[in-house]
Amino acid sequence: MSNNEFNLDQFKATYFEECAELLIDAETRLALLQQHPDAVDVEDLHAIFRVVHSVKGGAGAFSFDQLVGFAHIYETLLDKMRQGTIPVTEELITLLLAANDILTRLIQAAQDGVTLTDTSLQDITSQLKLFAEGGPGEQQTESARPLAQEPAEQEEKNSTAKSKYIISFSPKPHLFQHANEPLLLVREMKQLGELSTTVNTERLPNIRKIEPDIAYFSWVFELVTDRPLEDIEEVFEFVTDDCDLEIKVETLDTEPGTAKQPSPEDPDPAEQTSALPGTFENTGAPVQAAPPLTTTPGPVPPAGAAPTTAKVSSIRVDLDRVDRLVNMVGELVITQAMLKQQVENLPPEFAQYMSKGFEDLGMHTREIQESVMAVRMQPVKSVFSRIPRLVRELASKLNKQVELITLGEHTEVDKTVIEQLADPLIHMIRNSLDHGIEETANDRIAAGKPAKATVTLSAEHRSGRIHIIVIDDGRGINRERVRIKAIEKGIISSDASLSDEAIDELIFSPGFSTADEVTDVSGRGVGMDVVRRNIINLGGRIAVQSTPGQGTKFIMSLPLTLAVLDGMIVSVGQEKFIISLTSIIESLRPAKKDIHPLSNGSTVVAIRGEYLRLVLLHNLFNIPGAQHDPSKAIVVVVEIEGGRRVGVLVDELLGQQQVVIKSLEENYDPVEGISAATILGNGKVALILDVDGLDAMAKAEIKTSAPETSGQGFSEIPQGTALPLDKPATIDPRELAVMEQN
Amino acid sequence: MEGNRQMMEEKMPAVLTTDDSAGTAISKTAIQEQAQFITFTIDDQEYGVDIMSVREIKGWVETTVLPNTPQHMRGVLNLRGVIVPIFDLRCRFGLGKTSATKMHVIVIIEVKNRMIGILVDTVSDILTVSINDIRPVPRMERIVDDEYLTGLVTIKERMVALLNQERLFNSQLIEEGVATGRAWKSDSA
Repeated sequence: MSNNEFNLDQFKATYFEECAELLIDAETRLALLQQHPDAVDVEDLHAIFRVVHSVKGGAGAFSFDQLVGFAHIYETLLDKMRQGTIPVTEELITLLLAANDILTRLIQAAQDGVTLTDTSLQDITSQLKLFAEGGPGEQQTESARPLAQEPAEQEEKNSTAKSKYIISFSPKPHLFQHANEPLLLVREMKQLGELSTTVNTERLPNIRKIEPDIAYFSWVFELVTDRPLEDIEEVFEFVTDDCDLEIKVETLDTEPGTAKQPSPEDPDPAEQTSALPGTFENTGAPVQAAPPLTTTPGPVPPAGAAPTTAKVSSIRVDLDRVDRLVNMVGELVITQAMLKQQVENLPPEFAQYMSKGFEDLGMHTREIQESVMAVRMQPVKSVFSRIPRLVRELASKLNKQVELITLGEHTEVDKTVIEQLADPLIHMIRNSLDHGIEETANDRIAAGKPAKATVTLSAEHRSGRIHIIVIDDGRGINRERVRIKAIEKGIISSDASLSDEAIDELIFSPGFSTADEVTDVSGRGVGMDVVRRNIINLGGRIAVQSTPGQGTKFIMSLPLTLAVLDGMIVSVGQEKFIISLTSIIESLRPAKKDIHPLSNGSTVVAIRGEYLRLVLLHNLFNIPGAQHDPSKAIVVVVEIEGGRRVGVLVDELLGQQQVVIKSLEENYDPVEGISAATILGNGKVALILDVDGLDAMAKAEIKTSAPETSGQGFSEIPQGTALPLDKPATIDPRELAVMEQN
Repeated sequence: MEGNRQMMEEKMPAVLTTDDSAGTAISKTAIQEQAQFITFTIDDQEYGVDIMSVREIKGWVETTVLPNTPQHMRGVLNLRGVIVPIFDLRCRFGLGKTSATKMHVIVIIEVKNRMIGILVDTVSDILTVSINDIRPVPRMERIVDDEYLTGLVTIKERMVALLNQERLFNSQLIEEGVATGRAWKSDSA
C-alpha cells in the first residue's frame, strides 16, 4: 500500500455505501435465522460472516480501529457458529442482532469520524467474546452435538498428527481481474506448514499472445501440516469462485491412507459434496463429521457461493446519473409527441410516408421510458427486512406471541417510494400488534384461535401500483368502542348513523385513539391518521377491512414511482395547473342556489347537504381572465389534511394525464400552494397544486380583515402604479388582496 | 484559482463579498491574471458575468408564471427537463419590467448549484480582462447598489459592470435590491 496523496474520501464513500448494503443483507439473514432457530441454514451464517469480514477488511484499509476490533470479535464468533463449534441458539441470535446494531453504529461513527464510547459496545463485545471462547455454548455443543467437530483451538492443541494435503489449484483466467493474487495464497499456506509446489505452465501461450491480466498457471501444492482442513480452505475462501480447487488429504499418522477423524455417520461424502454449488470439489476421504445444523458437510462452501453473488450482475450507479437519464428520456418523449403532432399537419402523402416510422419511434420511446424507470426500482425487501425484528421486539414488550409471515418481498418499487414506505409500515405493524392482536394468549384460545397470533405482511403489483397488505388475525375493530370514542372526541355527532365500513374508517381520523392509556408502543392518537397522511402524500391510498373476532386487513396502495403522478389538468384563465388524482374526490358544476357567499369573504358550496369551503384559485394566484362565477365554473372537490374536503374552483377540466414530477425547489424557492412542477406535452411547464397549501392560503386570507395591497401574481400590473416593491420575496398570504373586494 | 481570488480580495476588500462561495464570481482562466466575462446589455448599460458560471444562452420563450412571486421573477421554463426560474434583470434593478420579445435573450447561469436564467436585452461580447484592470465600484455612484457588483472594467470607453450574481438572486437580499432600485428611480424622476 503506497501512501499516495490521492483522495481517500471517494473510496470511503464507496465503502460506506457498500457497508449499508451489506448490513441490510446481514439483517435479512439474521431475520431468517431468528424465524427458524432450529433449522438454521448454514449458508446464512456464511453470508453474515462474509458481511462482517468485508466490513472488517474495508475498515482495516481506512484504519477504523474500533470498527476493526469489534468486527474481528464478531467475526470470530460467527466463524465458530458456521463451523458448528457453537450451536445456534435463540439467545445467540439475539446477541447477533445486538452485535449487528453495534456494527451499524460503529460504521456510522466511523463515517462521522467519532468513536463510540457507551457501555453497550463493551457489553456486547464481552458477550461476544464469552460465546466465542466457548462460554455458555460449549457445554451444549458437547452434549447436544456429539458429532460436531472440536473447537478449533482445542483441535490445534490436541492433534499432533500431521496430514499431507494435496491441493490442486487451477485459477480461472479472470482470477487477476477479481483482484486475487496466487502468490499471497502461497505465502499464506507456507505459514501453515511445509509446502512444496509444482507449477503447471501448460496453458501458457506464446509470448505474443500473453494477456497480462489473465491467469495461465496452475499449481499442485503438497502441504504437510497439523492444521485442520478448514484452515487450508480458509486460505482459498475468497478465490473459490475464480478457480478449480481440489484438496486431497493423506494422514501421516499411524494409520496412513485414512482420513483423520473418521466419520461413520457420513457414508457417502462424495455424493453429498457434489451437491455443493460452484466448482468446489472435495474428492478426498471424509474429513469432517457433519454438524447437524448444516445440510452440507465437509468443506465450508466458498465465499460468494450463492449464485447471485458469484458473478458481477449489478453495478453501482450514482442516483444523479439515473435522474439525468430519466430527465432526458422525459424530454425525448415530449419531443417525440411534438414531432408527431407536426407530422400530422403535413400534407397527407408525406404524413402517410412517415407515420409508420413515428409509430415505431413512439413505441421505442415508451419502452425506453419504462426501462429507465425500472433502473430505479428496488425490491421492497430492504424495508421488509426491518419488520421481523420490530415484530419480535414489540411482541416481547407487549408479552404476546406473534408470528410474522412476509410475502412478495421481491416486489419492486421505486427507490424513493421505498424510502418513504418504512415509517407508515412500521406504524401499521405496531398498530396491528398493539391493538389488533388480543391482549393475552388465553383470550385467543377462548376465541378458538391458536395462541400464537399471525401477522402477514405482503407486497404485490396490481394494475400499475404496489399493494402492501398487513393482515392480523386478532380481534378486529371493535366498532362500538370506536363509535363511542369518536363521539367522545367530537369526531362524529352522537346521532350519526354510520355503516360498518364508515366506522372502520374512523380510525384514520386525526386525534383518534382507542387506547385508554398511552404506551410507548402506540396510543398517542397520532397513529393512523399520520399513516394515512403519509401515504396520501406519496400519492397512495389506504383502506381497512375488518371482521370482528377474526382480524383486520390494511391495504396500502402506492404508485410504483414518485417520479410520475396521475394528474388532472385544469385551466384557470390562461394558466394550466395539475391536481393529483389521488386527492380528487369528485368534480361538479354547482347550481347557483347552492353557492353561499359568507360575510367573512369566503364562499361555501352545498353539495348533498354538506357545506364545502371554496378555494378560489384565480383569487389566491391573481389570475386574470378566470371565471369568477362558481355556477359557470367547476368545483373540484379534494381531500386535504385530516380528511377534510374543500372545493377548488377552476374554469375547466382538460383531462387526465400521467405527468413527470419536477422539483421547483431545485433551482428556486418553494412557492406557496404549489407542490412541484411538470412538463406538458407541448414542452411548457405546468404547476402541480398543493391542495393543503391552498387551503391554508385561503384560510389565511379570510382572516385578513381589510385587504390593502395587491400582491403581484399573474395579473399584469401596469407600470407607474405604486407597486408593493418593498414586500419580501414571498408575500405573506395574509396580505394578499381579495380582488373582488377591491 | 484560489490565488486569483485572493489577489482580488486584496485589491478590493470593500467590494468582494466575504461569502465563502464567492469564489465562483471570478473566472477560472488558465492564465493567472486574466478573467473572462460574458457581457450583455440592458438599455445602454453593459454588464458582465463570469463566463464559467454561464451554462447556456437562448432566445426568450414564454415562461410559466409562478403565483405570488416578486415582479422580477418572470416564471419558470423547461430547460431539457430541468425547471429553471427566469429573472428579469431590468426589473431586478428597479428599471421596470422588460416587455420581452423573441429578440430578448436569456442567459442561463449556475449560482451556488442552482440554475437560473436572467432576461437581458442582448448579449454583446466575451471580455478577457486582466484582473488588475478590474476597478472597485465606488460606493453609491451607480444606479445599481454596489453590493451587487464585484467590480468595473473600462474597455475602449465602454464601462462594464461585473455582476455578483450570488447576491443578486439571493432571495433574502431581493427586497433590499428592489428598494434600492426604486430609490434610484424616484431620485432621477
